[in-house]
Amino acid sequence: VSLPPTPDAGPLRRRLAHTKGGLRLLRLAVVTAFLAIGVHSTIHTLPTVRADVRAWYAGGRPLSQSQRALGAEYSGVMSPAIFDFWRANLRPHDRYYVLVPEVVGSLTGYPVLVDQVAGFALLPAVQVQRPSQADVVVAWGRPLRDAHVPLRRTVRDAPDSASVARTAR
Amino acid sequence: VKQDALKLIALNAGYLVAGVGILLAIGAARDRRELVLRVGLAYVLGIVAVGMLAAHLSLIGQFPGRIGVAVLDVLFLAAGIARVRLRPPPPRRVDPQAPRRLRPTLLITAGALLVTGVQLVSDARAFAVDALRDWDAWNIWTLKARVLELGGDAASPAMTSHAYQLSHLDYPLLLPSVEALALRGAGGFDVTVIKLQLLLLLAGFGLAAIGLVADRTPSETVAVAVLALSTSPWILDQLRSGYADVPLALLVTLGVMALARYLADGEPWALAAAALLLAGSGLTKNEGLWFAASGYACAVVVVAISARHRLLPLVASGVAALALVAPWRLWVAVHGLPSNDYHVSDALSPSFLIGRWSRVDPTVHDLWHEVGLNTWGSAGTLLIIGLVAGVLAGRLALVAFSVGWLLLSFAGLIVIYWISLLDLSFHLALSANRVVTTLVIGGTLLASVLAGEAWRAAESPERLAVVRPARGSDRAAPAQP
Repeated sequence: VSLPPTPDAGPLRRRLAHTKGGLRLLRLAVVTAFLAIGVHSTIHTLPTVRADVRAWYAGGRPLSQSQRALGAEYSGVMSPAIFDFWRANLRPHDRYYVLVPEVVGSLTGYPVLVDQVAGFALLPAVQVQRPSQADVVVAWGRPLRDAHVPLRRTVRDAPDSASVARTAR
Repeated sequence: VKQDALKLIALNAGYLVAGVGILLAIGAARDRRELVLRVGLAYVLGIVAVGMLAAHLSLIGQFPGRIGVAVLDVLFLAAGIARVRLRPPPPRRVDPQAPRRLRPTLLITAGALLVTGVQLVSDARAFAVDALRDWDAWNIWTLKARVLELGGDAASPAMTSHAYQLSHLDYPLLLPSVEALALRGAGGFDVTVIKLQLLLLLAGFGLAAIGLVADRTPSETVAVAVLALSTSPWILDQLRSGYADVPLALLVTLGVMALARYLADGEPWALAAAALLLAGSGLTKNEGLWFAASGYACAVVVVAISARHRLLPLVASGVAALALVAPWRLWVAVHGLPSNDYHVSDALSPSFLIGRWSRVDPTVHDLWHEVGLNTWGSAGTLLIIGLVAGVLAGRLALVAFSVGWLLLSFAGLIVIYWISLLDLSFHLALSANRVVTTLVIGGTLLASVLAGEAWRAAESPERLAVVRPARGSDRAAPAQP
């Protein structure tokens, strides 16, 4: 809180007012620097952003809606057709167990990757960790008998070597 | 896509309606001018309030659909109108130091908003066709969103059973809830609506940030900061990934800006907004709780030193924020949902911390590198200039709050990596570049607030800092020095 200098202000007040004028200029200079750097930053990054956005648009436009839902990593784990086949043979809220081969050298374990993708792709069916808990075993690259549970009604998808079987629970 | 986009816009118009109700209820829209000024804040508060309520309803298996959301929107509006009718808020205080209405420099704000808007429209075209490709996006956030969309029950095995542990069962539900509301609003699963919803949040954030301060300081500095951030390639790339880091950063930033507004002039509505926004942060990601707690802790210290009479409302706001987060934390505890990343209790074990001391140095190095100039360009420079501006404006309390919040938040991140159960290199490589987003966005926006304070001080340094009552008001309150 400060009082404005009066016309008959003494030397101290005049000096204070002079300092305040300097302070005001300093404040304005700093604000100007802030605005200038902010604008400069935008001018610097805008071309990159515009190029990125154009590339995203060009990359995404040819994709179908289901391809957009699958994503690059998703389809990289396994052919999306296999997930489609599994999904087509599951009922909502089925409990399913995923049976796939181990792949040597995989970072986190191939079955874990497939489990994660299936967990998302096969919703609203629910994944379980043991075949004995499952209503359905979904398999790819491994025989259904490896689940070691009694099975009934098996469906196979020959081109992709995928299969689905209801358990006899 | 067009139909889905229209449905999404209708849903978001509902959020705006709910937010207007909240503004009225908390006294942040005392006249038409304030209502217009805070339309962005209304929108963000609406998303947070409805999303949070929907998330809590999912805990009892009652996640709302389209009609449910519309009912909630109307209820929020009705509550706001009832509040105004039953207990009209005091008239807006007229601050002689507040920015004059039509300054030529407002062209800077207008230009910044125009460029931001054009860029966001361009982003929307790309977001609308973008695939859901990033691992954590579908494995955590969209998976939970789909579970809520399909069944509406947080007790679903897909959100509680061990088989889904790698989807981070203990991660909170605000973002999945907002995404699920968008999916239900659009009538089914469509990646487009998720991405566009996130972009709408970014647009709302920009307007909300301006609305938080524009009746006190010139809005140009905040507008330019918003422009710089919303045209940052890194932020847009993160946002389109569908990860929760940018939404978290936006909510935390608005929350700490609201706290800063309260520190600046004691406006009670700012505290109510801070409670809602920071509770939303705690319900977006686990570290959001730490960022929020850091904000409140620093504000309490500053207020305890500089304006003790404001302490009680501030503490009440913090307690309210905690109460809003509590249902989810209780749910996690009751269901024994494990954390894959770390156990908070380890941070209190000296032997555990000493045994893992070697993790601290690389963590500090990597996080510091991430907030540095490589990724974020001029954000660091803007922060330093903002702090200098704050000092020159004599807003030492705000400067202390900003520095304190940044340091405490940064320390919290270090502790997380210190006690993390994951291999450090793996954990840092996976997330260090993302977790600093909140600090960068929050720091830049706080810096813009401080620069605005310097502008305010420079515009009318010789005036008496006394607030005159508006016409018809019988109250005069002193502005804070």
